[in-house]
Amino acid sequence: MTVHDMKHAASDSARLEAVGGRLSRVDGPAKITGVAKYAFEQQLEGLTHAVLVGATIAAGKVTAIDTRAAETAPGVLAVLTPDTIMELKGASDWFGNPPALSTYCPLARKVTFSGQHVAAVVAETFEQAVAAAALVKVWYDETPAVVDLSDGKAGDGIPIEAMTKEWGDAQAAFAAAPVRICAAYNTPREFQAAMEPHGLIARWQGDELTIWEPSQWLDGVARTYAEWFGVPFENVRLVSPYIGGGFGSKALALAHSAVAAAAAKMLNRPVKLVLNRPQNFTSYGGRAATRQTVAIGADRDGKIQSIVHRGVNETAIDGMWVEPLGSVTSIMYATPNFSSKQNVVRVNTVVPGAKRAPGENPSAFGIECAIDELAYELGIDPLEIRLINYAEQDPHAKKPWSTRQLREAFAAGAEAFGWAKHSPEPRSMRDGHQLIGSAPRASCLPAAYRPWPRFFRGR
Amino acid sequence: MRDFSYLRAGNIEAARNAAALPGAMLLAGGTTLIDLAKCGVAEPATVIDISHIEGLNAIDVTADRAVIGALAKMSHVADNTEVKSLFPAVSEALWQAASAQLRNMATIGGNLMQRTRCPYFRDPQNFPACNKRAPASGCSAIGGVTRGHAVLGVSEACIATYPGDLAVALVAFDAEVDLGERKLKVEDFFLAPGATAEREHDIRPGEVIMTIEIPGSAAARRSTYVKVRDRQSYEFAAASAAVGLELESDGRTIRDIRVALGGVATKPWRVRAVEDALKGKALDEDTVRKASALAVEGAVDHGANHYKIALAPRVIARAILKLGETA
Ligand SMILES: Cc1cc2nc3c(=O)[nH]c(=O)nc-3n(C[C@H](O)[C@H](O)[C@H](O)COP(=O)(O)OP(=O)(O)OC[C@H]3O[C@@H](n4cnc5c(N)ncnc54)[C@H](O)[C@@H]3O)c2cc1C
Ligand code: SF4
Repeated sequence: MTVHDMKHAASDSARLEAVGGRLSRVDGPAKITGVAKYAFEQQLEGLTHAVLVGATIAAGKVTAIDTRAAETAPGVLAVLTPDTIMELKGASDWFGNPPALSTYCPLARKVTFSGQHVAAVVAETFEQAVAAAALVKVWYDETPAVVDLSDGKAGDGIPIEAMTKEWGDAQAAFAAAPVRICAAYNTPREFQAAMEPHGLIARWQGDELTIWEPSQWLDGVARTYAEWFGVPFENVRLVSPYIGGGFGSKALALAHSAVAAAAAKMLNRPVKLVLNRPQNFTSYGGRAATRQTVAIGADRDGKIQSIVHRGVNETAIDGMWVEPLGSVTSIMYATPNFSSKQNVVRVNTVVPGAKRAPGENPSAFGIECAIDELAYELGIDPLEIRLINYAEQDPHAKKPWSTRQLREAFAAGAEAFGWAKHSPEPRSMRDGHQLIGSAPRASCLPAAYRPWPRFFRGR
Repeated sequence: MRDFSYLRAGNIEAARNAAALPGAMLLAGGTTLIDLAKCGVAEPATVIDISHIEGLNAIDVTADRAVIGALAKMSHVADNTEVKSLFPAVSEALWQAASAQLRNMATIGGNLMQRTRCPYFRDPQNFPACNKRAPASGCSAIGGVTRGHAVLGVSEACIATYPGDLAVALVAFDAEVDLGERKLKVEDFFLAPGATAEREHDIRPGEVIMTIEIPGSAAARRSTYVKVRDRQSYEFAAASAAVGLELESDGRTIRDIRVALGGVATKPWRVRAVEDALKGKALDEDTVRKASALAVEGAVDHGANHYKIALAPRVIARAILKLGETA
């Protein structure tokens, strides 16, 4: 495989250039000129093509699948259903926790979201597989679905105790504060939508599996394949020459990956399976939709006395995803009293996943909007209120920061932006016919993460 | 598998003859047809490639009229110096349509023939009911997700929005489409759904769009296309307006004005009520806003597209006021 070295880390002068300079990506020219050969663009002898059939209901049971027409269509090698696909073993999760179930079927009998894979067709050509997949007839026993967070049936959800963070007495301090604001902030489901779709080629040679698949986590993904098929980790070779965009979504082996690898094993031929564009929105999760309320109590001079934060994110009916909504809320501003709690609500969707700064992104959106509300309520400049409440130390741990230069960053930003010309009144600023607004924003990516390995060498 | 035959037409006669065959469809840039074939909406028996026919891509512009060949690329027309100076709204409508890659492929004839972006129309597998696709099958949009659907010119059969930009500018300036044997006003070439949602264009089997002709006018010379959309580029209009303005020599009384709406109606939508209310009046913001409100009289929403009724008059007013500021 291709291993990309960070050429620019070689000398100090190059490193200086790297900061603030325009750096062309190592793989940029190959990608831009079309020379780059992506994982599933390999030409293999005897390659077959798999196409998935997705559920057309959001909740219920598959009661019957009629595969006869598809099976007799030209070029078709196999039609896989939950009944005919080989049984896989359960695989451990992202963190390495052992599986809850000992077996795994990547095609669903019980449908928990629209688009969930219920069958697959393998044929000699892609066109034949597409045509035959359209001939697979699926019958369902449909049950009511919870469409999204705003669905009346969604309820309050499940409290995630591990997300609770509290110090002082936030409720009492909020109630006693002379100035109070409380506002709700919602963010919709966000999708990774990479240009290179998800997909793979799987090839078995005896009990050795080669997978050509874009991957943001080679070892973890290879481990999953090894566990599904009960082969040693060393028997799985994962080839990921390029990532045509991943944004967190290409770090797991997914249900469609299992279908392709199982089909390759069953047919003893290499199988290529690439998700079409609509399937890229239903085969793996984007950032969960979220809902937050942020209540801030403050003195009249703008000093925050209390922050009460409540968050909810959607997750799947049978998959858990917690989008940590309090991650930035708890660290941005000095407050003697703080409370953050979070629930998750199950809805009929594919399980959400990691997307670019999971948690920090919606979390910052909530607290940073709320602090502006407070500034407006008090008639204090939004930049000023951030400085009034500047966290000189970690507000929770009460420990000094190793480095924090937010004050300097705000000063430099205000200068570059021309913040002094800003007017806080709604509808008071225009650019031509367009109403415009402006606000300072800050965020942080907590550096308290355990060290995460970044570079892998190919075998 | 859906097999079809492919035929490359060498000249216009061959194209016309082949186009008269049952199940025949013309292929120009392919940016609409291939998409529709992929999602199972277009199932041509014969695809007639007209992109090699010579002489159909000319762009001929004088102060009197612009004559644009059906095979002219969107990007070429948008970038044509005379089009830019004599018909700015046409150029601007094209610049704000689709993406650079698509504009380099797509033709003007194909642009007029593009189909609605109603998501139900494009998903036959999940939504069999669609009167536009399958007459008398019903309408999946009514009672469904309607944020992008039309509020003007709708019927009980169909509420699909006409998505294009260019044709909005064309109807504002009384353009005509030349079908060889017949010439039609572009405004009449497009059909509102009524009870026959499947018929979108007044075009008959065997007819091929040859050229589009736009009469020159003072209003066309002082014109603009304002497109408001969910994101700044590569997106269809939430509401758009093509507007042309001619003022009396006093520099403030409106002599001629043309207004057409996109993104809110079932066809490119000329709004003469707004034009009539403004002709002879002095150009000031209050008058313009009052007149613009007439554009949505009789509008019907289906819930989520309600915002279009508020938005459309504002887009018209924005376009007119913007033109008023230019000398
Ligand atoms: C992602 C995307 C975004 C887009 N965004 C916009 C947008 O913002 N604004 C906008 O206006 N448009 C937009 N479009 C539509 C685009 O402008 C049209 O697809 C394009 O103009 C069609 O031209 P074509 O030459 O590719 O047509 P084709 O796909 O070749 O043909 C389209 C249809 O027209 C017929 N046809 C073609 N030429 C003739 C002719 N001479 N006579 C009779 N019939 C003919 C064909 O039979 C076919 O039915 C978008 C398209 C895509 C795919
Ligand atoms: S609005 Fe028109 S195009 Fe859309 S589903 Fe209804 S009939 Fe079909």
